[in-house]
Amino acid sequence: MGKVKVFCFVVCILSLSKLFAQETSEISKYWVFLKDKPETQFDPHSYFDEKAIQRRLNQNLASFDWYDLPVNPSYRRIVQERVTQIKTESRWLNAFVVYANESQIESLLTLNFVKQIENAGRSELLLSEESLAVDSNNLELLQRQTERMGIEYFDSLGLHGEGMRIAIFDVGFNGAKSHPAFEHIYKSNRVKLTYDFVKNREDVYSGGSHGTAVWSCIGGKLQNRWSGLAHESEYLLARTEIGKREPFSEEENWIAAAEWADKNGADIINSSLGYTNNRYFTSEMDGKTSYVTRGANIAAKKGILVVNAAGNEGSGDWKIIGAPADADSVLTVGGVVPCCDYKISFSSFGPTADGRKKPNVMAQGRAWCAKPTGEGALDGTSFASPLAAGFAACAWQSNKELSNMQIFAKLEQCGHLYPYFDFAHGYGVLNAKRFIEGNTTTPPTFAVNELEEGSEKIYEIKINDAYFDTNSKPEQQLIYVSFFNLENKLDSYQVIEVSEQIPVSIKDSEYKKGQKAVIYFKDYMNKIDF
Amino acid sequence: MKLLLPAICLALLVKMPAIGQEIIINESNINDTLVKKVGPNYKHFTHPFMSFGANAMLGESGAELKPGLDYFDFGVRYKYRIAEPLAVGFDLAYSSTTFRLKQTGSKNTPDTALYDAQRMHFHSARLGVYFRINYGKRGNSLGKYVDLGAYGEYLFAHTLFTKITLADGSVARINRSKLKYYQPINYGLQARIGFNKLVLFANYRLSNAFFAPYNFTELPPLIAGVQFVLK
Repeated sequence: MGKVKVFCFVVCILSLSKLFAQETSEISKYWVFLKDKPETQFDPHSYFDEKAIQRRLNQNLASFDWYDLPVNPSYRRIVQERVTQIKTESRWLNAFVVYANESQIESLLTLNFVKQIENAGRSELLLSEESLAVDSNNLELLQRQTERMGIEYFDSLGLHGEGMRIAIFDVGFNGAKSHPAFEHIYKSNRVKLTYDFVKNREDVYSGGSHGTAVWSCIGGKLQNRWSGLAHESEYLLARTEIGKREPFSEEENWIAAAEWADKNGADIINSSLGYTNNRYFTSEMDGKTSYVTRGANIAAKKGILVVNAAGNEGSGDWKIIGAPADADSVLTVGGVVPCCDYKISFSSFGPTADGRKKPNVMAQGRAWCAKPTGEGALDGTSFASPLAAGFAACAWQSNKELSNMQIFAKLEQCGHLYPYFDFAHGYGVLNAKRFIEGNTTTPPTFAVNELEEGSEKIYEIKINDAYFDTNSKPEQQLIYVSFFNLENKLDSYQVIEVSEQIPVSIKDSEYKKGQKAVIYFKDYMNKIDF
Repeated sequence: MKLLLPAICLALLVKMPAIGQEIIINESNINDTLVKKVGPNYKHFTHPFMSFGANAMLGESGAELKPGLDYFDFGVRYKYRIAEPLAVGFDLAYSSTTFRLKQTGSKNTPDTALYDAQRMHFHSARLGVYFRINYGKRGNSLGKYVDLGAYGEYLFAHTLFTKITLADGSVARINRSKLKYYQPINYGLQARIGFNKLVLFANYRLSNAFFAPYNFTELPPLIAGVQFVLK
């Protein structure tokens, strides 16, 4: 075997490797963070839409702050001269996203106004469109996705999201403009602005149909019924993602869209997107690491309620929520099965990497949605999130004096499980009646009886006869049990289907003194102190 | 310890008949498993793979080949991460390689006779070791990488297929095995360029396919193709 051939083989491989390296490291995308914003002029009234100013006034926020100031133009000029291209800039993060090679980056590092440079890399778009199948009973699914949250209740109070402005970030809104589901919105000129941050143009009606389906779950009309609760809201449509055929996307588009939504008066952002393992580790889902999470938290500081899908990793290796659902100020929405109030298999779990409670609330994880040329059933927390966003618009409309974080807290409190919480269901499915009327005191629906069995103490959870429905399907009668450790941290949890009047037994001896179990059944919660 | 809790809880509920009450969700706190050691960009990662390829050289005079998708392998690869951009590992695989010999006048492998068709088919068990360099920032994914390494393989089965039209016009198809001229142990270099689950690979055999005394023209040493990470 000729040595020359071996030599050629090795040279060939090394050359390919070098080309490969050049492609990925020499021409890369970077975040260039700046130290300050000196000598920056800013007039909020000329920059912001009137609704953005109003939102700030409503929530007693300053008309602008440091985050709103533009990136210093002279810095931009200097950076521009030293890089291949400035892709975008973020006034919130006081940063540019640039395409540059290593020597250009070294040159930027010598600038005294440059604080830090990070490789921007690329991130995975977690589109939640898991399957597409026509449900055997379309109308039932369509009715249930709104009725279980109490659309009639909001309707009786005249709450349909009027006056609320909702920004939707997605992959594209194919077919939406001519779809009957949105006719009522276009007719009354309630699509205020659109922008494609991928192609830097106004047309958002290409790129994918995921956004069309998501939008229909906020304010669409299908089969002569409302498929979302906020059908009278105003909308800002943003294309921030590249789509399924290109499974990588760019977080800077999300942040740019958030700044655009803020500028143009959005009250609520719905983002059925998530960023997971192509760029991050689960340990980085800590509410402060990813760019998009940082952007989402700043959006919340501006008074915007950011609603995000929990993600569809519940049955995968990743398992927990992605970014920006890990942000503490983001309302993270998980999905429940259509029939009942337990988590749909794919819905991502909490908590965050730093142990915070997620998801916050739940909505239906399978929904009847608009498709570019019709309608159909879709699975994913992508559709639970807009159902919750529509609910939030109606809820906020009922009391515009509340700040976004007050609404956030009230939304958690109107979950059907509240104050019970677990990392699969959060505080449960949003409920309009609970939001308006608050949680009423419920008589005990079950009893916890202490029994002695030999030398052992046993706790029996027995449903009260008046609350045991013999006609109900087992999956519709659920006992939720959470177990807390000695540090009072939630350790494990269960959901138990009940179809017979047989007590659930828990042995005291299996737990240490100081541990506790919290039990919830039909609006009543009790606990066992071991 | 904490992971035992769901099992304990399950045990505590043994009094419940399965029909009457059924646990439909039973989870422990995911935080317990956040410090991971196993995953595409963690300390240890094992995954199956499958490859399809072809002889990248069509051979010298005496053993010229017809082109075709003649290589397949299936195996398991282990990766041990040393640092963010560096890893080492090994793989174990079964491989199947076919050499379709052109029937030209200069042919001398494995004989000089000309047939309608003739092909050598090898089944091997392969052990490879490699060194991996990753490019670019990534999370828990394989990312973009180059693997350089070496392999050794044991040829545990082979066949020599010959198709010939006889004088009476009938066609004979002959499969021969246990032939003495094949080297049972081979070794070579391997290289891969990976983009997450899609890999381009090349294997270069350094050893001779035939024992020296037979004086056959050597078979082309380079196989290249595409590999799929199956996890």
